[in-house]
Order: sequence, then C-alpha cells, then structure tokens
Amino acid sequence: MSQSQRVPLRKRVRVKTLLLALLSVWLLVLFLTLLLDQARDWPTATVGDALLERNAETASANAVTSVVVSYRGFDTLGEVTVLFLAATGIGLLFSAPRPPSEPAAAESEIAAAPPNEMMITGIRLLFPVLLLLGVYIVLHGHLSPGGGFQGGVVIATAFFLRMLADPDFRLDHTRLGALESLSGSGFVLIGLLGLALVSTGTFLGNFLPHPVASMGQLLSAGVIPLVYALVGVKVGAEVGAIFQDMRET
Amino acid sequence: MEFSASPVWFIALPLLAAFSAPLWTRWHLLDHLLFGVPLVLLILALGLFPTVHEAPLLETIVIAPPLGIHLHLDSASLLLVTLFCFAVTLVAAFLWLGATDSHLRGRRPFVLILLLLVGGNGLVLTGDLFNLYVFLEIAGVSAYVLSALRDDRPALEAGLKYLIIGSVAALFFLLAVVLVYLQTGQLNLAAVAREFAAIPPAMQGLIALLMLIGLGIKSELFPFNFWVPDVYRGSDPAVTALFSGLLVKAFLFVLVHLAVLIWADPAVARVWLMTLGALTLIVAELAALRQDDMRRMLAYSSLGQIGLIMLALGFFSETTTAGAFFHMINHTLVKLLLFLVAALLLRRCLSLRLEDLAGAARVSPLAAGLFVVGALGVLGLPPFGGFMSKLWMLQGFAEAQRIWPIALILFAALIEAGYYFRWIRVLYAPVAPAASADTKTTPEPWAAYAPLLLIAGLMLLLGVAPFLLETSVVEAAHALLDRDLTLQSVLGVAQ
Repeated sequence: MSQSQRVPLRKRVRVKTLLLALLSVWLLVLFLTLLLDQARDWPTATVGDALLERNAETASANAVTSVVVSYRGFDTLGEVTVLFLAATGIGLLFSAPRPPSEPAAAESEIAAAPPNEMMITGIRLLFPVLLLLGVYIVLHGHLSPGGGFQGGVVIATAFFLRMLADPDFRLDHTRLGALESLSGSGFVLIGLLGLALVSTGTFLGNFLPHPVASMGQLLSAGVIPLVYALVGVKVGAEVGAIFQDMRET
Repeated sequence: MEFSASPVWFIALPLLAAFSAPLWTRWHLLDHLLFGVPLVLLILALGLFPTVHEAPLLETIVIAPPLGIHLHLDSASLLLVTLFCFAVTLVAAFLWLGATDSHLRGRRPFVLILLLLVGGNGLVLTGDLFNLYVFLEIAGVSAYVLSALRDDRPALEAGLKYLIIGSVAALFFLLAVVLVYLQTGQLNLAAVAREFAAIPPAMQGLIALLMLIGLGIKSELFPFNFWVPDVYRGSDPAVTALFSGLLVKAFLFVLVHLAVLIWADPAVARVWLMTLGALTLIVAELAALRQDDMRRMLAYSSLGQIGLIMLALGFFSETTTAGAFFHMINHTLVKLLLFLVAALLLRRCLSLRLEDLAGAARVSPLAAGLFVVGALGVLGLPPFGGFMSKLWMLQGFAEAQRIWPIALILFAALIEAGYYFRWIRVLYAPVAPAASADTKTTPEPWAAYAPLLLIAGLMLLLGVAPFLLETSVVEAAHALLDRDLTLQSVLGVAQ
C-alpha cells in the first residue's frame, strides 16, 4: 500500500473546503431554480423596444450607436471615466520606481533578445492596415457595427504590435495624456454645449443638424460621430498608456 | 435660464476638471482647483435650496424619464450633495495647507478625489438603475486606487482587498439590475418601482437579496464589513476621512432609497434593514474596544455610527429619518475631524499604535485637543451636534413606543465612551513621548489646523443651534420616504 492511501480520508480532503464547495453548489442550484421557475416571461414593452422605434429621430443607421451615444450617452461618459480611472490606477501601480531585484534582472535579459525577423516584417505590413481598420471602425460607428470603444482598442493594439516588433519604440506618456485629456474634456464640453443651447436644452443633446434624409451617409446623425470619434481617441490613448505602463516594469 | 442651476453641474464640472488635469499640472493650478471646484459646487448647492424647496428639480438627459436617464434633485439628494461637496472642500483645504507627503500631491490624487466626488454625487442624484451602477463603479474604482495611493505594502494590500471585495459587490448589484430589466423591461427607478409588484414574489426576493448583498458590502453593513478595518488601516487617514464621510453615506442613501422605492412591503424592508443596522452597531462597537491602532479603532467606530444611521433610516418614520440625516451630517464632520487629526498625529509620531501615542499631547497639544473634541462629538455629549441628532433619533423611537432601539443606542454610546476615553487617557499620559516623536519633524504650520478648527466650530454651532438645519433635514426625510411623490414627479402620475 502506498503512503497516500494510509492517510485517513478526512485528512486528505479538507472538510472546510468541501463544505464551502457544497454550499456554493447548493446556492447556485437554488439560484437557477428560482431563475428558471419563477421568472416572468420576457416583457413585451421594454425600454429597448421603445427606443428602437424612435431610432429615426437620431438619424443614425446603427440603432445600437444611437442608444449608446445619444439616449444613454451619459452612461457612456461614465464608462469612459471608469476606463480612465483604471488606466490611472495601473499607471500608479506599474510606474513607481522599484529597486532592481533578481527576477527583474532576469526578465530584462529575455527582453534584450531581438525580436524575430518574421514578426518584424509581418508587423510592418500589418501596422498601417490595422490603423486604417481602427479609424474606419471609429468613424463608421453610426453606420455599421463598431464604434469608439472597439475602434479605439484596435488602434491601441496596432501600437502594441509595434512595441513587440521594436524594443526601442515608446509611446510618449505626455502626448498620450494630452490626447486623453483633450478627448475627455471634449466629450464633456459637447455635453455642456447641448445643455447651453436653447435648441436642445439637455446635457448631451444633439445640437448639430441631423436630418433623417441623410441617414446612412458618413456625415449624418449630427453630434453622434463626433462624440464617438472622441471616445475612440480616448479609449485608444488609455489602452495604449496601459500597454506602455505594463511594458515599462 | 435653466442653464445656471442644472444638477448636471455636480457631475460635469468635477469630471471636466479631472479630465483636463494635464493642463492644470502645467499651469500649477492643481491645489487651487481641487479646493475651488468643490467650493463652487458647494455654493451652487446652497443656492439651490430655495428652488428645491418649491419642487424637486428634474434634469432630463437627451430623452424624457421613462425612456432616458434623468437626474433627480430633491431635498434629500440636495442635502447629501451639499454634504459631499463640503467634505471634499475641507479635505482639499487640508491637503493644500498641510500635506507634505508627495503621494498626496500632484495629478493622481487630484483626479481621484474629484472623480470620487463625481461618483458620490451621481449615486445620490441619478434616477436610473443602470446609471446608478455606472456611478457605483466610478465611486468604487476611484476608491480602490485612492486606498493604494501611498504605494507601500499596507496600502497595496488595502487597495487589493478593496478591489476584490468591491468588484464582487458590484457584480451582485449588476446581476440584480439585469434581473430587474429582464423582469420589468424598465430601467428608470420610478418605472421599475411601478412595475415591481408584478414580478413573482420569489423573484422579488432574489432581486432584493442580490441588491442587499451588493449594497451591503459597499455600505459596510455587518455581515459584509469584515474588510473595512484592513482597508482603513492601510489607506492614508486623509483618504479614509473621505471614505467614511462621503462614500459610505452615498451607498447608505442608495440602499434606503431603493428599499423605499422598490421593495413593495415596507414592513419586510424595515425588519431587514433595522436588524442589519442593529447588528452592525453592536458588533462594531464591541470590536472597537480591543483595537490598538487608531485607524482601526476609528474604522470600527465609523462602522458603529453607520449601523446607528441604518437603524434609524430603516425604521422609515419621519422623525427617526430626519434624525438620521442630521446624524449623517454630524458624523461626517466628526469623522473628518478625527481622521485628519490622525493624519497629523501620524506625521508627528510616525505611528498610530496605542503604545507609541503615549504622551502625544505634549508634542502636539492642539491635535490632541481636537481629538478630545471629536471624541466628545461622537459620544453625543451636549455642546456638540451629535447630542442633538442622537436625541432626535431617540425621540423618534420613543414616539413609536419602540424600546429596544433606544436601549441599544444608549448601550452603544456607553461602549464608545469606554474606548474613546481609553485613547484620550493615553494621549494625555504623564510620560515623555517616544524619542522618535519630537526631534525629526518640524511643527505643522498653523494653517494646517484651520480646516480642523472650522469643523470643530461647525460641530459646536450645530449643537447650539440645531434649528439652522431643522427644515432642510425634515424636508429631506419627507422626500426620501414619500414614494408616491417621487413617482408622481417623474412619471406625472401617482401609482
């Protein structure tokens, strides 16, 4: 008999962990039962349906965008703020100067190895295409699926690939900060302009002309593409700053 | 023009200032703006009191309420917004005049403190359930980063703990929001309140439980508040002053506001909230007796007061709720004072442990004196505001012929007296202070004490002249408890 089999069962299985797991499973089953048995059918008149019906008044061909940027633009402003906070927090944790320790030194040796030739060439070809794709996704947010968040991340990824290919490539933190602050302030200022102008009178109101006739064209939906472009710049700058921070450690 | 008096400013102005922080860094305006922005908002809030006295102010964003997001400024939310702006102004003044630590100066704390104000204001102002979640995240994430600001071991531990537990809380709340939308198809709070009774009872219970766990963690109620002392111990005292004075108050308000609006049966909600409040009060006060670190002691004392406020709010009677609002104001003042004193003592004595603080009153007599003032304020002794607010709550319970909350509150005050006097005795112990204490640091400039003296003066003023706040506090209680009024002002029809 091997050593492990002679150890009594209650020592091999931690009772506390087992009980905790059982409790979690029981709670999950209870939760699912409630969810499946007790739930009402999907209600017929939801806010989403009502907004969809009114979509024409924003003149944005992509109904999701008119919800995200116009009807619930305030939430989007909040989400952008949360991303900004996360970038600030990561900047705080990663940018602090630390005393050089053993693992860090070993890591820098690995990083010193030059990147693969295949990768350098591939990324050189891919970089402009990715950048263009990102800009396209941002600018066509009100026409087709996509928008500021998705396009911004694609743009940041393009720069991340550059970082992989070229160890000396750096994103300048001051410039990223300036871009981020310009686009963020721009979003709030557009919102406040909507509040100040008599024609709209609400925060984030669509004060530019947005005739329904032009729906589907690049220049349509008034202020929506403008806001989404700002979101794209902001998201791109923030995600880029996060990549840069993580690389510097 | 409506432009000048819109509640959007309470969110947009600090947000704009925080986003354009690189500009202010270049122009060396960070300190001025961190103080100036909340001050401007405080003046705006004070100017809005006569308007809101007439009728609650509704600010539509893009599309009218049942479909879109709106901000709801009634007497209750205005009172809390004023309190938050005041708290941030005071802490900013303290940082500007007195803080020498590099991690409390500069761009990051500027951004984080202003966004914490955005989160707190948004939480009490918004009239939309998902928007509430967004502000919960803003307030939460800025608090996680703020608690790790010092970037040393205890601070990082505090930040990590807060991040994990806070994210779990946010997930619970988000799940509740999803279920509400699946069941009612509405996100506007008033519309949800109207439809909520149509949901099957078991589902109602599940949603209420998820919200209670999520917001219970955030507002530091008893079974969910095990993390609080560690976070308060690791963070900077000036930052914890904001947590205790601003953040918890916002979440408490949200919890009670949702309970009033959504939970159809007030009797059930009353049992739950009062039980949680009473348990928080007793457990925290008993735990505070044994603490040997001033920050942990203050954290437990803060938890105890939160429990007390919850107990009074959860009773849903107008007198106790008015008393609870008054006590929120007093408690914010007291805890700002105590935590800022702790910040000064920490800088002077380099430690906040009981044995290291022996005789600290000789090195910094003014700080020790202010600690005594704060302690008397927490206990609710006569010349201070805490006396009037505790009396008010007790009166409310006495009117309703409830004896056990009265006994509980008095018993808790007795325990509080026990541990605060223990600390006071140590501060004034007739021994020479530790050698490290007085030689290394230079005395604080007098200006650093100015915000603290202002708080002490206000506590005294509220104790002597509580009638200054009486109308606004009673109106706030009325606005919080009157469900039909809220529904009517948003949807145009009462249920």
